[in-house]
Amino acid sequence: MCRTLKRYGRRLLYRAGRRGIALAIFTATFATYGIGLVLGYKPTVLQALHLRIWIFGWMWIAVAMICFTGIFATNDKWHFALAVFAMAGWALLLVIYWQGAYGWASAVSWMTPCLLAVLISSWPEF
Amino acid sequence: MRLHRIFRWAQLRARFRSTFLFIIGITELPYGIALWLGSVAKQPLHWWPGYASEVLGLPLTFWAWAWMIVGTFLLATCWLHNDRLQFALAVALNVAWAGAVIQHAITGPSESGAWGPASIYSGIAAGIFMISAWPDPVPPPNGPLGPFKEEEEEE
Repeated sequence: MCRTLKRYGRRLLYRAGRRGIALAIFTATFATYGIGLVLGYKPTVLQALHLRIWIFGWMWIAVAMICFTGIFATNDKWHFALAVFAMAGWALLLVIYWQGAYGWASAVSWMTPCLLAVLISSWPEF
Repeated sequence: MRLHRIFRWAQLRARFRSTFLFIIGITELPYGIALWLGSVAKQPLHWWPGYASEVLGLPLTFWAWAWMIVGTFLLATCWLHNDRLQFALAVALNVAWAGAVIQHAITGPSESGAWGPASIYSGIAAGIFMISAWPDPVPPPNGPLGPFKEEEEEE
């Protein structure tokens, strides 16, 4: 049982490839963050573009779903592009609408995965 | 002309793993500065960990310096071929910070979804961990950077 699971796990990882695993990590991150926002987490922004924060939570969940479809896809450039666009957009939103002193700090946190996504997207599989 | 040479040298010298570490370093440093500014701010802050005096039992200033030191270390040593320590430090700091967010969500003031930001740091840590095992790609023989030197030596 354990060996079969291990074999399937390895096959799954092999099929996804490293770029696929990167997309899986982005999917998990976006989905968790989105659920957090929907459940009531308040970042340094309370309202932006006349939208409540929980709406952005659902947007993150939607982005996570789209990124999920790219895990096993051979052509994953659009999935990476969406991930970069979402993270850069969110960082920009935090920079523009931050409230309270040094609220821009959270935008820095989002710029890290955003720039890493840009780099990984240009990294060939093998 | 000289600028072009410098750019060409940097292009040849740059490796994906080095660039990866450079990006982490260049974003960890300002985050540490933001934490430090938060720790010495006189006005009340409304974001975690800005308003917290301690994180995981250590003062916020300690964490601010930790982020700044690790960021500077990554920027200074990202070009080295032996980059195990750099990757390990980056993973350790992000895992510790994700743990701090989760601890804050469990023991801190009641705030639903406070564990949300832990996903960012866990995601970054997982990404760094994965990339640490990802070798630098071999440039194609007739690619934009010219022939691959080791292949030439073999011939």
